[in-house]
Amino acid sequence: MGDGSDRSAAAIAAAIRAWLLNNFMNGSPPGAVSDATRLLGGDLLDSIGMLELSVHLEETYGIAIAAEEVTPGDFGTVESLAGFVQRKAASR
Amino acid sequence: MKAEKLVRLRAAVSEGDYLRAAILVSRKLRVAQLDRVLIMGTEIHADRPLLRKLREREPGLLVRETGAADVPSLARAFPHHAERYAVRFERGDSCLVVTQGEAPVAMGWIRLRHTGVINEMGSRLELAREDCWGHDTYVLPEHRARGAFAVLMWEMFRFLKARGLRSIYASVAWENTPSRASHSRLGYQTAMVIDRLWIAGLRVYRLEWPGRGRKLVRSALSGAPAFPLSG
Repeated sequence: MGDGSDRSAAAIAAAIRAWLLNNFMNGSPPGAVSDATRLLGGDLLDSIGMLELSVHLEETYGIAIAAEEVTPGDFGTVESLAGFVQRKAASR
Repeated sequence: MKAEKLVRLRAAVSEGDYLRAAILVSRKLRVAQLDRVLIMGTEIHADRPLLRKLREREPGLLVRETGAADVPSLARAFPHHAERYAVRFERGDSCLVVTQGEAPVAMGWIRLRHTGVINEMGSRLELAREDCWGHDTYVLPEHRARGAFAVLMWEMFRFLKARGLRSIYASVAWENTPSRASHSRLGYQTAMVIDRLWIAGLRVYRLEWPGRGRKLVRSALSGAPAFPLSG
């Protein structure tokens, strides 16, 4: 799983996929989650799970995610979330 | 079928969850319908470090107990069951509301034994004296996944703990996988499974108590006996 040192969008997406597999999809093959996997509004993560993911990203990348930033545009898929985290980390 | 429901149906089939797919498809049929609900329960006193952490992230969200005088404001904020709120307070239910500033963003209702048996999908469920029933837990759509649900549940457990209660139960629709996941992550376990098959007016129920090796099949013609939720 990524330690947050690689801040490319691809690396962040890979780290998010690994975290999802480890925490919400125990036993599933790596291909079970992709960059297009739906997050907010999807069937994989509940509201508690979304918060856990936010906390994980904050701790891993040293960013702060405000509640109003959790929108379908940025938290809709693994890919959009990775882009959001990359922008937040770059603007620190 | 709406696009969102089609996505859920496609996901259910691709995951091999054919029961969920059948339930979703049956919602569109006029002559037959299949439903499954899980009755899930958890110990109120259980340690919940995750929930504590999530609550501490949102100090701006406040929780208060409401009463009959709050019915108009509850109805304005949460109109989906507006006509039921006054009746619930008369019955003796408790209602906690999460507010941001002055605005309500989420609510959760609690029933105790003295308010009577729970009617859930054709079955009457009896609460023990030290148990309670959580229902109509609702977060406004624009506030979902932003902490209000976690804050509500943390404060609800504190509220119930202060009243000396032991367990809380809730009904969760089988096909609502996010809600099932939420409850599981809060420590809820399935205490009872209720299946209902409706065909052209005839209702058949199948009840199962996982882990207790007990199953029961009956039709609506046999009446609606009450079942204890625990013990």
